[in-house]
Amino acid sequence: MTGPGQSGGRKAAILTGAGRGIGKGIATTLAERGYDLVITSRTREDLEVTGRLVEQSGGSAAIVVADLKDPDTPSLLLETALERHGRLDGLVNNAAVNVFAPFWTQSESTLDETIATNLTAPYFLCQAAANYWVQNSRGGAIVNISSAEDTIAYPEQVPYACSKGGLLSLTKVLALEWGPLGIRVNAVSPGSVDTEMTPDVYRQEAPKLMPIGRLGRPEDIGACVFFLLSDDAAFVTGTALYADGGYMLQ
Amino acid sequence: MSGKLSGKNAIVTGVASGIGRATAIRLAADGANLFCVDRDEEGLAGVVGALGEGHVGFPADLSLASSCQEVVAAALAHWDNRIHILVNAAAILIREPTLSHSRAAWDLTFDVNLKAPFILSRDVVASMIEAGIQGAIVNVASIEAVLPGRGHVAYTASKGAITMLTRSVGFETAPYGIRVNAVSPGVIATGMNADLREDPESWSEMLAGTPMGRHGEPEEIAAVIAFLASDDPTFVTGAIVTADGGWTLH
Repeated sequence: MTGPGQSGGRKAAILTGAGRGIGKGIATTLAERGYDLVITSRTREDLEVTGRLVEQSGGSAAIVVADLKDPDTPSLLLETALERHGRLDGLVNNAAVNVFAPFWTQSESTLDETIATNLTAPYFLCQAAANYWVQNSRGGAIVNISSAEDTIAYPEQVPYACSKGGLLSLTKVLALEWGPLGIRVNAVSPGSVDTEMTPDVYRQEAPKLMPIGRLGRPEDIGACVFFLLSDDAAFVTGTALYADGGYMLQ
Repeated sequence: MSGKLSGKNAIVTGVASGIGRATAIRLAADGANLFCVDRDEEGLAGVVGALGEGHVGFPADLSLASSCQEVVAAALAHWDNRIHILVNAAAILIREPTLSHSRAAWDLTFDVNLKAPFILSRDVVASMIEAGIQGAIVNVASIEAVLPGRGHVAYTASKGAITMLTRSVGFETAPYGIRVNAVSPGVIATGMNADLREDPESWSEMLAGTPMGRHGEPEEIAAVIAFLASDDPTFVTGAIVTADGGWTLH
């Protein structure tokens, strides 16, 4: 294997929300399977941990501490990919926020913040990546991390549900529009995944709650993302891959 | 006037034209008392004037959060804190290419198509819970949430979001007997597509593949809304009722 940033078969992708949880699992999976990454979140300490995991997995990680709500962030991430890795092959929109409260007590600022991070930021990152690919006469692949909640309802997280319903429809419209440009856009919709944010009770209840008998692992989601980014998924666009251990079948 | 909605107090948005206008006329014919909202003062006055006695027109720009809150506050003051029905029909469609869609157009679309229904629903739900009213909210989604329209990126994403607003709010309010549903219209002859209908040949070509072979009229959507707003579908909540002449069947 050639060194980081060289063109010896490695690809490059931007990954948001890379500091924790599912994002960390996606980062290591992609690095193991040949991707160099631009990883971003709001917290440098978290990103440095993920960066070390990426390097242990054979990849190179460019760390960008950024607020996705800042309109300048998409171009910053794109420029970083080109400077550090010399190319961009994939984009993974993983970052998301979720504020729990009864619907009738949710503030419009919570809705604003949730839509800005979970839906508006992914769209303008998609737009920046797509423009780069079009200008360079090449295709690309985008994976948006949605949620089982893009389809089924959970209590006390209306803004999050709205953002994921929107992200699913966004995925479809971009796939339709950009199919002729060689840009594929898909979603992975995880169910309950075991991360540092997961309450213990979920782990205890998992054998009962999940047909597969366990919670998801961040690497489970990473494997789905890798597949949708890869040429194995060359005919797959505008779809959502539900990685939920069968939860939605119940 | 007596009818299925006799004695019900209903807020309807987007009343100056299209589906909102047809809905106001239909709900009034079914006996409801209407609180009609639109930013188009003249158009609103025309519709409210035609409805007859006892109905209210309330001009408001729903892209402003403060206006949405004023709508509910004014309706509660007018009806002694008793709102039974909310129909979120107001929406905008801004056509911009996905590769160059502006943030301003994206934000305005979400302010009107998602944030306004969110705030109106939240404040109406709070009043229903407080007054012990087992009311109904009906949102207007779109088949574009699942079968996207070219050049409609913000609109499509906003309709995916309102689909999940419907389902997640319906889930949370079900224990209170408040039902939240949506109608998902196909191609309906409204102001949104007036320019496209000026070319009858391409319009009918577009509709030729529809099983019913024609576009829908606003009154046909209003009829579905009137059903969902009535006490007939007592076991129906979180439903997305497609009314598209069969468009999404193939």
